[in-house]
Amino acid sequence: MSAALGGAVVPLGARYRLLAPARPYRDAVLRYLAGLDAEPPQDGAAPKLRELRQAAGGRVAIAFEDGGLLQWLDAWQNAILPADFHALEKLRPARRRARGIFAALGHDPDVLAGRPVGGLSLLESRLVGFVKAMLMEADLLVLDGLHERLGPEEQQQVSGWIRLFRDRYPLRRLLYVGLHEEPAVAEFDDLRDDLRRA
Amino acid sequence: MSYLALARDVSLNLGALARPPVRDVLVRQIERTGAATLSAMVLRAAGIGTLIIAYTTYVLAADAALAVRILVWAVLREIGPLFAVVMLVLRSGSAVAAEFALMRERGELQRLAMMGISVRDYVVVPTVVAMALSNVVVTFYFQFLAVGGGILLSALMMDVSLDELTEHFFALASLWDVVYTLVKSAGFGVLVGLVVSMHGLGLGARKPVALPEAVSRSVMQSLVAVMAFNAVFAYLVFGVLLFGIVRAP
Repeated sequence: MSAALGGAVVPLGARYRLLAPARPYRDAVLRYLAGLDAEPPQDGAAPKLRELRQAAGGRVAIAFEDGGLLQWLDAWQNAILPADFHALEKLRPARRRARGIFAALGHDPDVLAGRPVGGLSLLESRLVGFVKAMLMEADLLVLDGLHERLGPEEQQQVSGWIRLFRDRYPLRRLLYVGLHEEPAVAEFDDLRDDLRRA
Repeated sequence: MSYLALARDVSLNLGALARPPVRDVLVRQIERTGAATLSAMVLRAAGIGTLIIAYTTYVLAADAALAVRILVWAVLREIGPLFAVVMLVLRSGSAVAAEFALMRERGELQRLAMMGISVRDYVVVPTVVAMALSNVVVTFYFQFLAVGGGILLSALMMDVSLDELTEHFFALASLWDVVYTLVKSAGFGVLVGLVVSMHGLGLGARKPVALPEAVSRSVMQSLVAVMAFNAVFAYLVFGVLLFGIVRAP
């Protein structure tokens, strides 16, 4: 199965990686995919980024490298914020789903309740940010350099999170945007190679 | 973005308060703005009531009826709402502006936008509503303490009974004073909420200012906006502006 839009084909379940030359470029890519900017950064990856955004139809979630957490909420409230905000159900079903995802990732969600985000480690912040992005049920999950600045064991854990996402949602697309080549996402298709092949 | 555009956006998007996370922010802001101001109010309010009674009694040699009349006019209609909003601006408005400026500098506002969460709906709407509600409560609390403290002190200091003073008070005060206070203090709260949101979040600036300047501008412009609103409100209600220099035709 694939999504064809305006002649472009982005297969469902596709996994891409994009090496960003610098942080501003990466920010620009994230802003474009999130719908804040009208145009992607103008380089060779721009056409493919357009296709990805079109194919996702606005359903894009980003797992930020620092978790993208708000200081005035605790870790648990941060995890459920976007899902809770966008769902108007009074029973707040995001809470139940979040508990399930944390448990599947091997973490006790009760530990996060009331815990200030300033006291979280980098890995914990990324975990909360990853669960938050997973809860958004997006067609495209953007991984914002999740392996960067982590030790080998922690990188293994992050790879486990990504595997869980792929197992649960095999048809959803993934894009890893990083500043460095990461062995953990080596099997992802390089966005620029994909373009050259096309 | 101008203040008018922001006020219009907020009023058109009050429905955002139906969202649970927005209600959480509303409760949080009420706790932070209202509770913080209330706790600092007791001694100051009672002190002002006492000061007015003492001044009218000893300096103006007023009797009990005049002292209570001045207390009602001054505290209920003017000093109460103004004192409460000044406390709100200094204690809570500055803190909220600083927190918003920090959120902006940490990139949290951009992250919210990237998650599809409108800063206006999630941050501005509950803040403006919280400031309005808090200021109404703080104003009534201040008036209760100032009038109650003033009347109690008068009964102790002057040759007049507490019953007589209370009777004078209820003869002078009316439901109109309650409505007047309610509308005026809610208006003050809305203005402060709009100003701290505008400067703290950097909504109106082409180039957002740094945290200290955002706080400073929030406090100063809140006070200016409140004074201007007070003058216009007095003109609309009583037909008098600038202590009687300008009168409605």
